[in-house]
Amino acid sequence: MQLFKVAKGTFGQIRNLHVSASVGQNVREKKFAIYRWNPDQPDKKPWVQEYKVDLNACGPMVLDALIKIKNEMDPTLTFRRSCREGICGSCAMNIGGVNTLACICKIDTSLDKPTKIYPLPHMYVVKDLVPDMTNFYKQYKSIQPWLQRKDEKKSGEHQQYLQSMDDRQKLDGLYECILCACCSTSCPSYWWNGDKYLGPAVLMQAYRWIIDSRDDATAERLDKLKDPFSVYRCHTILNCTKTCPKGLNPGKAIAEIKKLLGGLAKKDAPGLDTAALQR
Amino acid sequence: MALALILRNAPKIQAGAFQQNLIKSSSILMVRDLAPAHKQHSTLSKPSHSLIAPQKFSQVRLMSADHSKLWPMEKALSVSMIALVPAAIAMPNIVFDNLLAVASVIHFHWGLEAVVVDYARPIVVGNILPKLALGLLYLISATTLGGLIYFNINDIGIGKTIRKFWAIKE
Repeated sequence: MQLFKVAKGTFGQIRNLHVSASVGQNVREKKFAIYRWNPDQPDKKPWVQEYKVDLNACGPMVLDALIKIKNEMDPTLTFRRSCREGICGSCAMNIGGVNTLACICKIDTSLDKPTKIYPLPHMYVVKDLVPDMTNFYKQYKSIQPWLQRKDEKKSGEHQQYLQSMDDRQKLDGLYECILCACCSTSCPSYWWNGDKYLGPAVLMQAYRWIIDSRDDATAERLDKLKDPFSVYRCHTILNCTKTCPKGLNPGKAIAEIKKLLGGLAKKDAPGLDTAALQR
Repeated sequence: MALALILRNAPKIQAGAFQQNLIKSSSILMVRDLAPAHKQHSTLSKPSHSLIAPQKFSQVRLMSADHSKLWPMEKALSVSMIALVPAAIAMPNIVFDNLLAVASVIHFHWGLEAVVVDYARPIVVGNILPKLALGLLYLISATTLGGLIYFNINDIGIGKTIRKFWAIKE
Protein backbone atom coordinates (compact mmCIF):
# COMPACT_ATOMS: atom_id res chain seq x y z
CA MET A 1 0.00 0.00 0.00
CA GLN A 2 2.84 2.29 0.92
CA LEU A 3 4.61 1.46 -2.30
CA PHE A 4 1.42 2.22 -4.21
CA LYS A 5 1.21 5.69 -2.68
CA VAL A 6 4.79 6.42 -3.61
CA ALA A 7 4.29 5.13 -7.14
CA LYS A 8 1.13 7.20 -7.48
CA GLY A 9 3.06 10.35 -6.70
CA THR A 10 5.69 9.42 -9.26
CA PHE A 11 3.13 8.88 -11.97
CA GLY A 12 1.60 12.22 -11.15
CA GLN A 13 4.97 13.89 -11.53
CA ILE A 14 5.64 12.21 -14.84
CA ARG A 15 2.19 13.27 -16.05
CA ASN A 16 2.81 16.86 -15.00
CA LEU A 17 6.06 16.78 -16.91
CA HIS A 18 4.26 15.72 -20.09
CA VAL A 19 1.46 18.21 -19.64
CA SER A 20 3.88 21.08 -19.06
CA ALA A 21 5.22 20.60 -22.57
CA SER A 22 1.90 21.69 -24.02
CA VAL A 23 1.02 24.29 -21.38
CA GLY A 24 3.22 26.87 -23.08
CA GLN A 25 1.26 26.65 -26.33
CA ASN A 26 -2.12 28.23 -26.92
CA VAL A 27 -5.18 26.15 -26.31
CA ARG A 28 -6.82 25.25 -29.64
CA GLU A 29 -10.38 24.68 -28.55
CA LYS A 30 -12.44 22.69 -31.03
CA LYS A 31 -16.15 22.08 -30.63
CA PHE A 32 -17.71 18.69 -31.35
CA ALA A 33 -21.49 18.49 -31.71
CA ILE A 34 -22.42 14.88 -31.06
CA TYR A 35 -25.79 13.13 -31.44
CA ARG A 36 -26.97 11.66 -28.17
CA TRP A 37 -29.82 9.31 -27.40
CA ASN A 38 -30.24 7.15 -24.34
CA PRO A 39 -32.55 4.11 -24.53
CA ASP A 40 -32.92 4.22 -20.72
CA GLN A 41 -34.67 7.59 -21.04
CA PRO A 42 -37.24 6.78 -23.72
CA ASP A 43 -39.22 9.97 -23.02
CA LYS A 44 -36.27 12.18 -23.81
CA LYS A 45 -35.88 12.97 -27.46
CA PRO A 46 -32.46 12.64 -29.14
CA TRP A 47 -30.34 15.75 -28.66
CA VAL A 48 -27.05 17.19 -29.86
CA GLN A 49 -24.46 17.76 -27.16
CA GLU A 50 -21.45 20.02 -27.60
CA TYR A 51 -18.03 19.17 -26.23
CA LYS A 52 -14.93 21.37 -26.29
CA VAL A 53 -11.65 19.60 -26.92
CA ASP A 54 -8.17 21.16 -26.86
CA LEU A 55 -6.62 19.98 -30.13
CA ASN A 56 -3.14 20.51 -28.67
CA ALA A 57 -3.87 17.80 -26.12
CA CYS A 58 -5.62 15.41 -28.52
CA GLY A 59 -4.62 13.00 -31.27
CA PRO A 60 -5.22 13.94 -34.92
CA MET A 61 -8.23 11.73 -35.69
CA VAL A 62 -11.89 12.12 -34.79
CA LEU A 63 -11.74 8.85 -32.87
CA ASP A 64 -8.97 10.30 -30.68
CA ALA A 65 -11.28 13.20 -29.82
CA LEU A 66 -14.19 10.84 -29.09
CA ILE A 67 -12.02 8.70 -26.80
CA LYS A 68 -10.73 11.84 -25.09
CA ILE A 69 -14.27 13.06 -24.51
CA LYS A 70 -15.31 9.67 -23.13
CA ASN A 71 -12.25 9.40 -20.88
CA GLU A 72 -12.09 12.94 -19.55
CA MET A 73 -15.49 14.63 -19.94
CA ASP A 74 -18.45 12.32 -20.36
CA PRO A 75 -18.13 8.57 -19.74
CA THR A 76 -21.74 8.06 -20.88
CA LEU A 77 -20.88 8.89 -24.51
CA THR A 78 -21.29 5.61 -26.37
CA PHE A 79 -19.68 4.56 -29.63
CA ARG A 80 -18.12 1.46 -31.18
CA ARG A 81 -14.41 1.29 -31.86
CA SER A 82 -11.80 -1.40 -31.97
CA CYS A 83 -8.74 -1.37 -34.22
CA ARG A 84 -8.22 2.43 -34.48
CA GLU A 85 -6.56 1.94 -37.88
CA GLY A 86 -9.38 1.52 -40.40
CA ILE A 87 -9.41 -2.26 -40.68
CA CYS A 88 -12.30 -3.35 -38.44
CA GLY A 89 -15.08 -0.99 -39.52
CA SER A 90 -16.49 -0.59 -36.01
CA CYS A 91 -16.30 3.20 -35.76
CA ALA A 92 -18.31 3.95 -38.92
CA MET A 93 -20.34 7.12 -38.29
CA ASN A 94 -21.49 10.29 -40.00
CA ILE A 95 -18.86 12.99 -39.48
CA GLY A 96 -19.53 16.42 -40.93
CA GLY A 97 -22.27 14.96 -43.13
CA VAL A 98 -20.09 12.20 -44.59
CA ASN A 99 -20.17 8.54 -43.63
CA THR A 100 -16.67 7.48 -42.73
CA LEU A 101 -14.54 5.75 -40.14
CA ALA A 102 -13.78 7.99 -37.16
CA CYS A 103 -10.35 6.40 -36.77
CA ILE A 104 -9.06 7.40 -40.21
CA CYS A 105 -10.91 10.73 -40.45
CA LYS A 106 -8.71 13.71 -39.55
CA ILE A 107 -10.22 16.35 -37.27
CA ASP A 108 -11.10 19.50 -39.22
CA THR A 109 -8.70 21.98 -37.61
CA SER A 110 -10.71 25.13 -38.38
CA LEU A 111 -11.83 26.14 -34.88
CA ASP A 112 -14.77 28.40 -35.77
CA LYS A 113 -17.11 25.63 -36.90
CA PRO A 114 -18.07 22.63 -34.74
CA THR A 115 -17.60 19.14 -36.16
CA LYS A 116 -20.97 17.39 -36.24
CA ILE A 117 -20.97 13.69 -35.46
CA TYR A 118 -24.08 11.56 -36.00
CA PRO A 119 -24.69 7.80 -36.19
CA LEU A 120 -24.92 6.17 -39.63
CA PRO A 121 -27.98 7.67 -41.33
CA HIS A 122 -31.35 5.92 -41.45
CA MET A 123 -30.36 3.11 -39.10
CA TYR A 124 -32.11 2.19 -35.88
CA VAL A 125 -30.04 3.62 -33.04
CA VAL A 126 -29.11 1.43 -30.09
CA LYS A 127 -27.49 4.28 -28.15
CA ASP A 128 -25.74 7.53 -29.10
CA LEU A 129 -23.49 6.68 -32.07
CA VAL A 130 -24.19 2.94 -32.06
CA PRO A 131 -26.49 1.79 -34.89
CA ASP A 132 -28.41 -1.48 -35.02
CA MET A 133 -26.70 -3.53 -37.75
CA THR A 134 -29.06 -6.54 -37.55
CA ASN A 135 -30.70 -6.00 -40.94
CA PHE A 136 -27.35 -5.33 -42.61
CA TYR A 137 -25.77 -8.52 -41.30
CA LYS A 138 -28.89 -10.51 -42.12
CA GLN A 139 -28.70 -9.31 -45.72
CA TYR A 140 -25.00 -10.19 -45.85
CA LYS A 141 -25.84 -13.68 -44.65
CA SER A 142 -28.54 -14.00 -47.31
CA ILE A 143 -25.98 -13.84 -50.16
CA GLN A 144 -24.17 -16.85 -48.72
CA PRO A 145 -20.71 -15.28 -48.55
CA TRP A 146 -18.62 -18.44 -48.72
CA LEU A 147 -17.06 -20.60 -51.41
CA GLN A 148 -19.49 -23.13 -52.83
CA ARG A 149 -18.40 -26.08 -54.94
CA LYS A 150 -20.30 -29.01 -56.31
CA ASP A 151 -17.27 -31.33 -55.99
CA GLU A 152 -16.68 -30.45 -52.36
CA LYS A 153 -15.21 -33.30 -50.35
CA LYS A 154 -15.32 -34.07 -46.66
CA SER A 155 -12.88 -32.07 -44.58
CA GLY A 156 -9.63 -33.95 -44.24
CA GLU A 157 -9.66 -35.07 -47.86
CA HIS A 158 -9.18 -31.51 -49.05
CA GLN A 159 -6.51 -30.34 -51.39
CA GLN A 160 -6.23 -26.68 -52.25
CA TYR A 161 -8.21 -25.29 -55.16
CA LEU A 162 -6.22 -23.72 -57.99
CA GLN A 163 -6.72 -20.17 -59.20
CA SER A 164 -4.74 -18.36 -61.89
CA MET A 165 -3.13 -15.03 -61.08
CA ASP A 166 -5.47 -13.25 -63.49
CA ASP A 167 -8.52 -14.79 -61.81
CA ARG A 168 -7.19 -13.79 -58.40
CA GLN A 169 -6.70 -10.24 -59.60
CA LYS A 170 -10.42 -9.95 -60.35
CA LEU A 171 -11.06 -10.10 -56.59
CA ASP A 172 -8.87 -7.06 -55.90
CA GLY A 173 -10.98 -4.06 -55.00
CA LEU A 174 -13.74 -6.36 -53.76
CA TYR A 175 -12.29 -8.51 -50.99
CA GLU A 176 -10.90 -5.47 -49.12
CA CYS A 177 -14.40 -4.47 -47.98
CA ILE A 178 -14.63 -4.41 -44.17
CA LEU A 179 -18.45 -4.22 -44.06
CA CYS A 180 -18.50 -0.94 -42.13
CA ALA A 181 -21.83 -0.11 -43.87
CA CYS A 182 -20.73 3.44 -44.73
CA CYS A 183 -21.77 2.90 -48.37
CA SER A 184 -25.09 1.18 -47.75
CA THR A 185 -26.21 3.82 -45.25
CA SER A 186 -25.26 6.64 -47.64
CA CYS A 187 -27.49 5.22 -50.38
CA PRO A 188 -30.94 6.86 -50.70
CA SER A 189 -32.31 3.69 -52.28
CA TYR A 190 -31.14 1.77 -49.21
CA TRP A 191 -32.77 4.36 -46.93
CA TRP A 192 -36.08 3.93 -48.77
CA ASN A 193 -36.09 0.19 -49.48
CA GLY A 194 -33.57 -1.16 -46.99
CA ASP A 195 -35.90 -4.05 -46.22
CA LYS A 196 -35.84 -5.41 -49.78
CA TYR A 197 -32.87 -3.78 -51.52
CA LEU A 198 -29.60 -5.43 -50.48
CA GLY A 199 -27.50 -2.26 -50.61
CA PRO A 200 -24.04 -1.59 -52.08
CA ALA A 201 -21.88 -3.28 -49.43
CA VAL A 202 -23.76 -6.58 -49.58
CA LEU A 203 -24.07 -6.46 -53.38
CA MET A 204 -20.34 -5.90 -53.80
CA GLN A 205 -19.73 -9.02 -51.69
CA ALA A 206 -22.33 -10.88 -53.75
CA TYR A 207 -20.34 -9.90 -56.85
CA ARG A 208 -17.08 -10.93 -55.14
CA TRP A 209 -18.43 -14.49 -54.86
CA ILE A 210 -20.15 -14.47 -58.26
CA ILE A 211 -16.92 -13.79 -60.16
CA ASP A 212 -14.64 -15.95 -58.01
CA SER A 213 -13.22 -18.48 -60.51
CA ARG A 214 -13.33 -21.21 -57.84
CA ASP A 215 -17.04 -20.77 -57.09
CA ASP A 216 -19.52 -23.15 -58.73
CA ALA A 217 -22.79 -21.59 -57.58
CA THR A 218 -22.70 -18.61 -59.97
CA ALA A 219 -26.03 -19.38 -61.63
CA GLU A 220 -27.80 -19.91 -58.29
CA ARG A 221 -26.29 -16.72 -56.87
CA LEU A 222 -27.44 -14.67 -59.86
CA ASP A 223 -30.87 -16.29 -59.85
CA LYS A 224 -31.45 -15.02 -56.31
CA LEU A 225 -30.77 -11.44 -57.39
CA LYS A 226 -32.95 -11.14 -60.48
CA ASP A 227 -36.07 -9.79 -58.76
CA PRO A 228 -36.92 -6.06 -59.06
CA PHE A 229 -35.67 -5.17 -55.56
CA SER A 230 -32.48 -6.99 -54.53
CA VAL A 231 -30.27 -5.30 -57.15
CA TYR A 232 -32.42 -3.13 -59.38
CA ARG A 233 -33.27 -0.54 -56.73
CA CYS A 234 -29.76 0.76 -57.47
CA HIS A 235 -30.18 3.88 -59.59
CA THR A 236 -26.41 4.52 -59.95
CA ILE A 237 -26.51 7.41 -57.48
CA LEU A 238 -22.90 6.49 -56.61
CA ASN A 239 -22.96 7.86 -53.05
CA CYS A 240 -21.52 4.46 -52.15
CA THR A 241 -18.37 4.90 -54.20
CA LYS A 242 -17.94 8.50 -53.10
CA THR A 243 -18.15 7.73 -49.38
CA CYS A 244 -16.25 4.40 -49.15
CA PRO A 245 -13.49 4.98 -46.55
CA LYS A 246 -11.49 2.14 -48.11
CA GLY A 247 -11.60 3.67 -51.60
CA LEU A 248 -13.55 0.79 -53.13
CA ASN A 249 -16.17 1.01 -55.88
CA PRO A 250 -19.42 -0.75 -54.94
CA GLY A 251 -21.31 1.13 -57.68
CA LYS A 252 -19.22 -0.57 -60.35
CA ALA A 253 -19.70 -3.98 -58.76
CA ILE A 254 -23.50 -3.51 -58.87
CA ALA A 255 -23.28 -2.47 -62.54
CA GLU A 256 -21.29 -5.66 -63.25
CA ILE A 257 -24.00 -7.72 -61.52
CA LYS A 258 -26.63 -6.04 -63.71
CA LYS A 259 -24.60 -6.87 -66.82
CA LEU A 260 -24.25 -10.51 -65.76
CA LEU A 261 -27.98 -10.73 -64.95
CA GLY A 262 -28.98 -9.14 -68.23
CA GLY A 263 -26.76 -11.45 -70.27
CA LEU A 264 -24.58 -8.54 -71.44
CA ALA A 265 -21.53 -10.12 -69.81
CA LYS A 266 -20.50 -13.66 -68.95
CA LYS A 267 -18.29 -15.04 -66.23
CA ASP A 268 -15.00 -16.22 -67.75
CA ALA A 269 -14.01 -19.86 -67.56
CA PRO A 270 -11.36 -20.44 -64.85
CA GLY A 271 -7.80 -19.88 -66.05
CA LEU A 272 -6.65 -23.03 -64.26
CA ASP A 273 -8.45 -26.33 -63.71
CA THR A 274 -9.72 -25.40 -60.24
CA ALA A 275 -10.06 -28.94 -58.89
CA ALA A 276 -6.96 -30.44 -60.58
CA LEU A 277 -5.41 -31.37 -57.22
CA GLN A 278 -8.61 -32.99 -55.97
CA ARG A 279 -8.28 -35.94 -58.36
CA MET B 1 -34.27 -1.34 -23.23
CA ALA B 2 -36.10 -3.18 -25.92
CA LEU B 3 -39.22 -1.33 -24.82
CA ALA B 4 -37.38 1.92 -25.13
CA LEU B 5 -36.36 1.08 -28.67
CA ILE B 6 -39.94 0.31 -29.56
CA LEU B 7 -41.33 3.37 -27.84
CA ARG B 8 -38.94 5.53 -29.74
CA ASN B 9 -39.68 3.96 -33.07
CA ALA B 10 -43.39 3.47 -32.56
CA PRO B 11 -44.62 6.94 -33.55
CA LYS B 12 -42.37 6.92 -36.58
CA ILE B 13 -43.32 3.69 -38.19
CA GLN B 14 -46.52 2.71 -36.38
CA ALA B 15 -45.18 -0.72 -35.77
CA GLY B 16 -48.51 -2.50 -35.93
CA ALA B 17 -49.58 -1.06 -39.26
CA PHE B 18 -46.03 -1.39 -40.52
CA GLN B 19 -45.94 -5.07 -39.84
CA GLN B 20 -49.40 -5.70 -41.25
CA ASN B 21 -48.55 -3.82 -44.39
CA LEU B 22 -45.43 -5.84 -44.87
CA ILE B 23 -47.16 -9.14 -44.46
CA LYS B 24 -49.99 -8.19 -46.79
CA SER B 25 -47.75 -6.68 -49.40
CA SER B 26 -47.18 -9.06 -52.26
CA SER B 27 -43.81 -7.83 -53.50
CA ILE B 28 -41.77 -8.54 -50.43
CA LEU B 29 -38.41 -10.19 -50.17
CA MET B 30 -37.63 -9.70 -46.52
CA VAL B 31 -40.01 -8.99 -43.72
CA ARG B 32 -38.73 -7.34 -40.60
CA ASP B 33 -40.76 -9.09 -37.98
CA LEU B 34 -41.19 -6.79 -35.02
CA ALA B 35 -43.33 -9.19 -33.03
CA PRO B 36 -40.51 -10.74 -30.97
CA ALA B 37 -39.45 -7.25 -29.95
CA HIS B 38 -42.84 -6.71 -28.31
CA LYS B 39 -42.40 -9.87 -26.33
CA GLN B 40 -39.19 -8.49 -24.92
CA HIS B 41 -41.05 -6.16 -22.53
CA SER B 42 -40.40 -8.54 -19.66
CA THR B 43 -36.65 -8.38 -20.15
CA LEU B 44 -36.61 -4.78 -18.94
CA SER B 45 -35.89 -6.03 -15.46
CA LYS B 46 -32.86 -7.98 -16.67
CA PRO B 47 -30.17 -5.48 -17.54
CA SER B 48 -27.77 -8.25 -18.50
CA HIS B 49 -29.98 -9.04 -21.47
CA SER B 50 -28.83 -8.11 -24.95
CA LEU B 51 -29.40 -4.45 -25.82
CA ILE B 52 -31.08 -5.23 -29.09
CA ALA B 53 -34.23 -7.26 -29.08
CA PRO B 54 -33.71 -10.40 -31.13
CA GLN B 55 -35.29 -9.65 -34.47
CA LYS B 56 -36.37 -12.51 -36.62
CA PHE B 57 -36.60 -12.25 -40.35
CA SER B 58 -38.90 -14.30 -42.43
CA GLN B 59 -37.94 -14.33 -46.03
CA VAL B 60 -40.49 -14.36 -48.80
CA ARG B 61 -38.64 -14.54 -52.06
CA LEU B 62 -40.57 -14.00 -55.25
CA MET B 63 -38.58 -15.92 -57.80
CA SER B 64 -41.22 -15.34 -60.44
CA ALA B 65 -40.51 -11.60 -60.46
CA ASP B 66 -37.69 -11.26 -62.98
CA HIS B 67 -36.32 -7.81 -63.68
CA SER B 68 -33.11 -8.98 -65.33
CA LYS B 69 -34.39 -8.87 -68.92
CA LEU B 70 -36.12 -5.52 -68.48
CA TRP B 71 -32.89 -3.76 -67.50
CA PRO B 72 -31.05 -4.39 -70.83
CA MET B 73 -34.22 -3.28 -72.63
CA GLU B 74 -34.29 -0.02 -70.66
CA LYS B 75 -30.65 0.63 -71.49
CA ALA B 76 -31.06 -0.32 -75.16
CA LEU B 77 -34.01 2.06 -75.46
CA SER B 78 -32.05 4.89 -73.82
CA VAL B 79 -29.12 4.34 -76.20
CA SER B 80 -31.37 4.15 -79.26
CA MET B 81 -32.97 7.47 -78.32
CA ILE B 82 -29.58 9.17 -78.67
CA ALA B 83 -29.98 8.52 -82.41
CA LEU B 84 -33.77 8.65 -82.64
CA VAL B 85 -34.31 12.12 -81.17
CA PRO B 86 -31.98 14.01 -83.58
CA ALA B 87 -33.22 11.87 -86.50
CA ALA B 88 -36.86 12.73 -85.79
CA ILE B 89 -36.00 16.45 -85.68
CA ALA B 90 -33.68 16.37 -88.71
CA MET B 91 -35.98 14.33 -90.95
CA PRO B 92 -39.56 14.71 -89.70
CA ASN B 93 -41.82 11.94 -90.97
CA ILE B 94 -44.66 9.85 -89.62
CA VAL B 95 -42.48 6.77 -88.93
CA PHE B 96 -39.84 8.64 -86.90
CA ASP B 97 -42.56 10.67 -85.14
CA ASN B 98 -44.43 7.56 -84.03
CA LEU B 99 -41.21 5.78 -83.05
CA LEU B 100 -40.21 8.79 -80.96
CA ALA B 101 -43.68 8.93 -79.36
CA VAL B 102 -43.50 5.26 -78.33
CA ALA B 103 -39.85 5.40 -77.22
CA SER B 104 -40.14 8.59 -75.16
CA VAL B 105 -43.37 7.52 -73.46
CA ILE B 106 -41.90 4.12 -72.51
CA HIS B 107 -38.68 5.84 -71.36
CA PHE B 108 -40.60 8.28 -69.15
CA HIS B 109 -42.87 5.52 -67.92
CA TRP B 110 -39.99 3.32 -66.72
CA GLY B 111 -38.33 6.27 -65.05
CA LEU B 112 -41.50 7.39 -63.27
CA GLU B 113 -42.34 3.80 -62.34
CA ALA B 114 -39.05 3.66 -60.41
CA VAL B 115 -40.00 6.95 -58.74
CA VAL B 116 -43.41 5.57 -57.71
CA VAL B 117 -41.89 2.35 -56.37
CA ASP B 118 -39.21 4.26 -54.44
CA TYR B 119 -41.40 6.98 -52.93
CA ALA B 120 -44.84 5.38 -52.57
CA ARG B 121 -43.74 2.48 -50.40
CA PRO B 122 -46.32 0.27 -48.63
CA ILE B 123 -44.27 0.69 -45.42
CA VAL B 124 -44.88 4.44 -45.47
CA VAL B 125 -48.18 5.07 -47.25
CA GLY B 126 -50.07 1.81 -46.84
CA ASN B 127 -51.07 -0.78 -49.40
CA ILE B 128 -53.65 1.08 -51.46
CA LEU B 129 -51.84 4.27 -52.43
CA PRO B 130 -48.92 2.58 -54.26
CA LYS B 131 -51.37 0.64 -56.43
CA LEU B 132 -53.37 3.81 -57.13
CA ALA B 133 -50.20 5.72 -58.01
CA LEU B 134 -49.02 2.99 -60.34
CA GLY B 135 -52.45 2.76 -61.97
CA LEU B 136 -52.50 6.52 -62.43
CA LEU B 137 -49.05 6.37 -64.01
CA TYR B 138 -50.19 3.71 -66.50
CA LEU B 139 -53.24 5.87 -67.31
CA ILE B 140 -51.10 8.98 -67.86
CA SER B 141 -48.59 7.06 -70.00
CA ALA B 142 -51.32 5.47 -72.14
CA THR B 143 -53.13 8.79 -72.61
CA THR B 144 -49.89 10.57 -73.51
CA LEU B 145 -48.99 7.88 -76.04
CA GLY B 146 -52.47 7.98 -77.57
CA GLY B 147 -52.38 11.76 -77.73
CA LEU B 148 -48.95 11.87 -79.34
CA ILE B 149 -49.86 9.29 -82.00
CA TYR B 150 -53.13 11.13 -82.70
CA PHE B 151 -51.08 14.34 -83.03
CA ASN B 152 -48.63 12.61 -85.41
CA ILE B 153 -51.43 11.32 -87.64
CA ASN B 154 -53.85 14.25 -87.63
CA ASP B 155 -51.46 17.19 -87.20
CA ILE B 156 -47.88 18.13 -88.11
CA GLY B 157 -46.20 15.56 -85.83
CA ILE B 158 -43.57 15.77 -83.07
CA GLY B 159 -40.54 16.35 -85.33
CA LYS B 160 -42.00 19.36 -87.12
CA THR B 161 -43.34 20.77 -83.83
CA ILE B 162 -39.84 20.76 -82.32
CA ARG B 163 -38.47 22.32 -85.55
CA LYS B 164 -40.84 25.22 -85.02
CA PHE B 165 -38.70 26.35 -82.05
CA TRP B 166 -36.11 27.51 -84.58
CA ALA B 167 -38.80 29.54 -86.38
CA ILE B 168 -40.10 31.34 -83.27
CA LYS B 169 -38.43 34.63 -84.31
CA GLU B 170 -40.52 34.97 -87.48
